[in-house]
Amino acid sequence: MNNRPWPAYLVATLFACLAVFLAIFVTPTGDLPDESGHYAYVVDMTKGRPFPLLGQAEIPPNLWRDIEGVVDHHRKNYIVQHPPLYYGIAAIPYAIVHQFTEDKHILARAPRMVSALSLGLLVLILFRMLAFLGFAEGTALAGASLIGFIPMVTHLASGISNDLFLTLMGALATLYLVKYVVDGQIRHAYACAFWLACAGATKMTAWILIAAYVGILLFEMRKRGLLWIGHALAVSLLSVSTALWWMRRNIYHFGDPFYIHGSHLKQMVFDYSLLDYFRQQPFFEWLMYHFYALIGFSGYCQTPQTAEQVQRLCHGGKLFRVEGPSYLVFTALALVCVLALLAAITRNAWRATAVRPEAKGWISLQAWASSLLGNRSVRKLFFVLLFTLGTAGVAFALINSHNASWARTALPFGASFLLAFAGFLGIASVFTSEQPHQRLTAYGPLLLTLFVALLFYQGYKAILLAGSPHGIQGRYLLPFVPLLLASFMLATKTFRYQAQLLLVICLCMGWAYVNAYATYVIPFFQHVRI
Amino acid sequence: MSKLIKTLLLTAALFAGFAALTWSLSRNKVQHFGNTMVLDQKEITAIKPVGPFGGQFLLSQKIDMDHINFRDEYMDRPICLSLFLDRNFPNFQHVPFKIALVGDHLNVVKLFNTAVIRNNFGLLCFEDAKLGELKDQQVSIQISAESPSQTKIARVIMTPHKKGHAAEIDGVVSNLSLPFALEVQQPISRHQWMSFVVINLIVSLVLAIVFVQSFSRTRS
Repeated sequence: MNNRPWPAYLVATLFACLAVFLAIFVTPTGDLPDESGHYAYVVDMTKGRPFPLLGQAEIPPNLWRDIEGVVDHHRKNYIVQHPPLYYGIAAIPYAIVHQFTEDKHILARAPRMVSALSLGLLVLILFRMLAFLGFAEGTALAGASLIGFIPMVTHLASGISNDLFLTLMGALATLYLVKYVVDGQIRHAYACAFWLACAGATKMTAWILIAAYVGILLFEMRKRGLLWIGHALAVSLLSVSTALWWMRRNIYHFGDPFYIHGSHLKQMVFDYSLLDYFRQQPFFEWLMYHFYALIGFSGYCQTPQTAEQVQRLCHGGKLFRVEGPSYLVFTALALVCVLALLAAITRNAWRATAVRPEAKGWISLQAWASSLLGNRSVRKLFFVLLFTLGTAGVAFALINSHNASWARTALPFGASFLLAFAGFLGIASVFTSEQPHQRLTAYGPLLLTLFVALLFYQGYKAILLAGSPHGIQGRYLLPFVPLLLASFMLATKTFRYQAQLLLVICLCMGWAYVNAYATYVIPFFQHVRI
Repeated sequence: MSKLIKTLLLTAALFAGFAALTWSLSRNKVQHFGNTMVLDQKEITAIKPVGPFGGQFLLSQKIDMDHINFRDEYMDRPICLSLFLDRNFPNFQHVPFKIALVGDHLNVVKLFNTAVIRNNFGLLCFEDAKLGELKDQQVSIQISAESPSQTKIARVIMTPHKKGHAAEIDGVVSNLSLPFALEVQQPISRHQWMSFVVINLIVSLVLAIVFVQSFSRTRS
């Protein structure tokens, strides 16, 4: 690997430039998910209020533009439920620009640069991760670029939101997690824990990522006796340190470590089961749509007085999803990638059934679990059991899921359910495989499956509390994408035409991205919203 | 040939290819900006450009056809929709409209040129057999204005009614009465073109770098 991979630097810079261009010229201010709340949090930071309190902090009515005669309806800022790391960093460019101008149009663009820069760095970190895993420079670059061809990603990178920054933290943690699983050097575990702590200080949803990654770190930790216990404690404490701090703050103020906006709601829907939710709500369909592109928000329309003042901006659809050829290409490619992943995991897991674990100079939970399944017959039985249950699960999901039309849902459902199958079958690889690369191939889909299951349950709870589906946000999956990318790349590593396959995927994703912006995003922002 | 030249040539080729493909796929297609849920029927929808190269603008309101009983015994066949334009209509007298019922998969059932509209009122009839194809689908009623040049707002109210009878605006069969706010703008702004060019250029350049890097590595 070249020590100075200039093409990677160039590609990362181009993605950052793309996000800057979108931030300045395409995405209207306030038109990103919850951008008004995120921006108000940033402004609070610069005004000496580093920890605004949920229930007290407000979104000013003249946040985006000065409007005469506006009346403050004291809209509460629900975004201050998030830990402050991103907002502290986003406040720096805001404070600098504020020294030179009071122009709100320019001021609002300053914190957006943090997200744009995060996208560039994200591509670079993904490239580094893939290069570490032994991929050629061009192949690693192709794999790393894929994330930038998702319209949702560049949309988030063009606004004030903690999502892209969190994904960057997640990517850094993943880089060191991958290094640790492969080479076992304890310093990589601590580096992973440090970036997990940063993620924990960025957004509460990252705490799930922390729990999952700490689980892998401990499962893979190769030490003996007290040394194992000492490192395990230190790595765990470092990882959860910021999350614990924020939990303690929530307990102090609200009496609940996981207190968020809406926690006070009482159940209003009864006699509605999880299966009802699965059958009646388009959870998976929406999740795929929203992961690819849920564009717009119209934050400036949230306050009644603002809606009245800028009525021209606030009529009609306030956000939309990308459909048509771009989405079709994305879901078709997603299905192809998932099939490749499933094939590799099945092959790895089956081959691992024929291997007897070797004695090692160190011990790990993984090695211990593998030795428990040392008998080949037991391993085969374990594999067959998982495969049978997984197949039955996919069949059950296909039969029972909410489905308006197979023509519209065949690809996204195929990709979603087979990915879950791959993750489920990956349990066999995780427990029995001697090869770190094979376990990494399984970790990506496994963790994403667990997270989506949790998201599904949260969506179900939202139905019980609010009576309508909420929180089905594809962007919540982004922190898990770096590990999924590593899994997919490792899954296709043995393919004879891996480089060619990646280039075709890149080409199709690139065109789908251009088409999505040309036919949906730009027309929406320039003719509907502005 | 140096890497730089290869990258630039590939960028130009990708740029042209992407633009051509986008244009060919979007020029005759209707884009949806529908929300993830069926929009409130009382909500006024916004203008929807057909595409970057189309020069048309489209207005749509998604409705759930489950709520509309096209087989109602009180209705004659074929079903007619009345198109009512409010007092701003004179501003649009010279703007040709098209009205269409469009299903989930862009299966346009009927397209009307509003040349039939006289005195602020037009009666548009749809074939029953065609409407039957839309049963149980999410359907958009869409109005597009070709060659838009006006900037005033018109309101359009559509009501299904019996053939040969006068329309009952906000009448008994009012569940199809949908208000549309039509705000006509210039087809494609320079800003829109420039945005498309910049995005296409950056994506093409990224892909060109990836391709050149991959092939040079493969060869070595």
